[in-house]
Amino acid sequence: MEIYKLLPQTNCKKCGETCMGFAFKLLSKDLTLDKCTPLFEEEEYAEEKKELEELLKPITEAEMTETGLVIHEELCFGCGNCVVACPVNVAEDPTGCAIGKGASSDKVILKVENGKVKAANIKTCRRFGKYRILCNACITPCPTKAIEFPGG
Amino acid sequence: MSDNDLIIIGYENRNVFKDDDPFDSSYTEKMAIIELAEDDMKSNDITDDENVLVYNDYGEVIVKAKKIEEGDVGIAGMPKGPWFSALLSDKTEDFYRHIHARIKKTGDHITTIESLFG
Amino acid sequence: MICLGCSCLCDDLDFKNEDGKITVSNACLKGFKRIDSFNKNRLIPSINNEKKSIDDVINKTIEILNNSKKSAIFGLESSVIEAQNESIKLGEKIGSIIDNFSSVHGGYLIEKFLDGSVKTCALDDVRDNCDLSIYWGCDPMSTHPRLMSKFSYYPRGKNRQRGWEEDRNTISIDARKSLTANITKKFIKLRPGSDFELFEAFKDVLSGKLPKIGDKRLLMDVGTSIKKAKYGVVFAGDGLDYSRERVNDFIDLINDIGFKLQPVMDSIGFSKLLFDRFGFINSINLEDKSHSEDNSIFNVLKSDDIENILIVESDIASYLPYKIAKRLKDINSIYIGPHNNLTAYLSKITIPSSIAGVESGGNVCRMDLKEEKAEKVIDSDFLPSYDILNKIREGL
Ligand code: SF4
Ligand code: SF4
Ligand code: SF4
Ligand code: SF4
Repeated sequence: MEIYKLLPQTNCKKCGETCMGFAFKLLSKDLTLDKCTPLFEEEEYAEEKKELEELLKPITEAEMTETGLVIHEELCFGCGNCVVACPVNVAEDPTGCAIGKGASSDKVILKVENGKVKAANIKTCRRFGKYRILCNACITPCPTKAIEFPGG
Repeated sequence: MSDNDLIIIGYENRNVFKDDDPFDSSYTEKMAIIELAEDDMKSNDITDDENVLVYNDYGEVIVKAKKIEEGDVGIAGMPKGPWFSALLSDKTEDFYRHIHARIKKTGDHITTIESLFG
Repeated sequence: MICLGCSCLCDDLDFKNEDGKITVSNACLKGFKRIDSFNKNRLIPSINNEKKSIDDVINKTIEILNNSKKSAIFGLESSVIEAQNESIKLGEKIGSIIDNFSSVHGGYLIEKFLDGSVKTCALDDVRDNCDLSIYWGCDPMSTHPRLMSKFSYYPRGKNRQRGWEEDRNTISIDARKSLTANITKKFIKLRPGSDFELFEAFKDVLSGKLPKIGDKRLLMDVGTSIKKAKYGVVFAGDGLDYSRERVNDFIDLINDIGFKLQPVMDSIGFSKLLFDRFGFINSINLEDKSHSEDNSIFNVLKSDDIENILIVESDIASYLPYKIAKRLKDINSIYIGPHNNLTAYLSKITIPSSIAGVESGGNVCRMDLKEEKAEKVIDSDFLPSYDILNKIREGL
């Protein structure tokens, strides 16, 4: 709601949505703030624009993926616990992740690069799709709570 | 030693790396700290991120106070490194005992490596 | 590529270099930072803080060693074996003391680990079999970040196929809630310095008595897990320093419960090399091959007759009491290493070396004594420390 209040609220639809619809799409990361062109072009919204950018920072900065998987890069130190514990990684990479090594397959979800974990193939995550389950295998082993599913 | 002594446990700070430049300000930020339990902060009238003087018979340093979750009263933590070493005894018997020190809130700046070792 | 970031020596790194922009897969942040540091914070050759050429600093070192009656060599615990061997040769030629980090922290455990007092294990067997690992006075998540993901907790092993949830139990014993304690299944928080009381409590529990101290239910619980364990390993660290006089009781306990010991320390490799050659892991006088506590860096720097010390790839000054570390400024101290650090800052002469396993190759020893061969992946003009040590010896 806070987001909605800061938008121009003119429902001009330049973003392809109503202001309310746009607010939701911002939250779900389907659209980005720059799609609301009035906000950027018109002086009077400068203040609101700044506040919105502040407000949206946590969403845009943390790497949020479609399953709602958020990786807090500043907390992650690449220990690989999540990489080795993720059941999809284990199944896709029996000679790599499954036995404690780094990822050796392109099909894994979690992989450490330059000391930080990165997510890919997110559609294969057990929290995704029709038969989704509440998998916690990457959250529990993280000593710094760098992985999160804020949606629950 | 008196009652309001703290035991200070030295630990390896995972954010500090062997190849870090010790004269970079980020090094001081990571290393020149003391982790305190909430109650110890209260009883010494210290809040998070305030500077404190830590002192004992062997030396003294000024570092930044950090609140630690699930901390025990009377037990503090400091990363092993230049600041922690100012509180270490140069007698072998005492070097392998736990370090006791007291703390006091201060408005002074964090001790620099140059002033400690200069 | 092999990572020399800690004594886990992870061997599954992928290294890419595109026009100086490097990408490293699978290394933890500690390992990555070390590789990425090839153009950061590099040491400059200097004498009394004045920049010199590499030849100047090596020649000056030779001059100092030629004129000195009592010298010491320290460090090398994270160096390649080639450099460790060179340091021994140099030390034998000048009749110096040779010492390393294990004389300051953890040596009492490494000795037991090496001399057959206790059962040990290969990390690959730990991965395949371990069903209970205990982390006592150590925090591998901070110091050896991939130990638990590669070997002791999270991987599936040959005989541990069902993974960490069902097949492996973990217990952390420490005075503070460390990163490791955050993820182990149980955590026993010790009053600082009360490790010995816990040895006793465990003895009671294991012989069916009620423990006299601590959380009785937790201890009974842990006791049951220990009894049930088929392949148990105690990972131990320098948190046991305060009970170092009781190390025999600790070893007895490990033997009583039929567990294996693995110290989580980087100085194991060099200690082993010295132990095999001289029968001691540190504080050795190479003139008569004798060992004495007086030869530890702690006591050497306190003594009046030491004239020079050569420190190789070890930031020992950050770990010593500052009054002792400051002594480096009063004597002829020479530091060889890739990066600037407190020890280099306090030393009179600094000699930059290449980053082993990044800019030069060599053999290295993992914490479980397995040897690995590291390759060079980046070209550089820096000399490897073994070349520097060799040049010094030849010049004497
Ligand atoms: S472009 Fe901006 S002002 Fe127009 S409808 Fe979309 S959000 Fe509202
Ligand atoms: S939720 Fe489960 S399947 Fe998805 S990434 Fe995490 S561990 Fe893997
Ligand atoms: S477990 Fe946590 S710290 Fe370790 S690699 Fe995964 S996200 Fe990073
Ligand atoms: S655990 Fe040690 S050896 Fe493995 S990648 Fe990290 S620093 Fe390198």
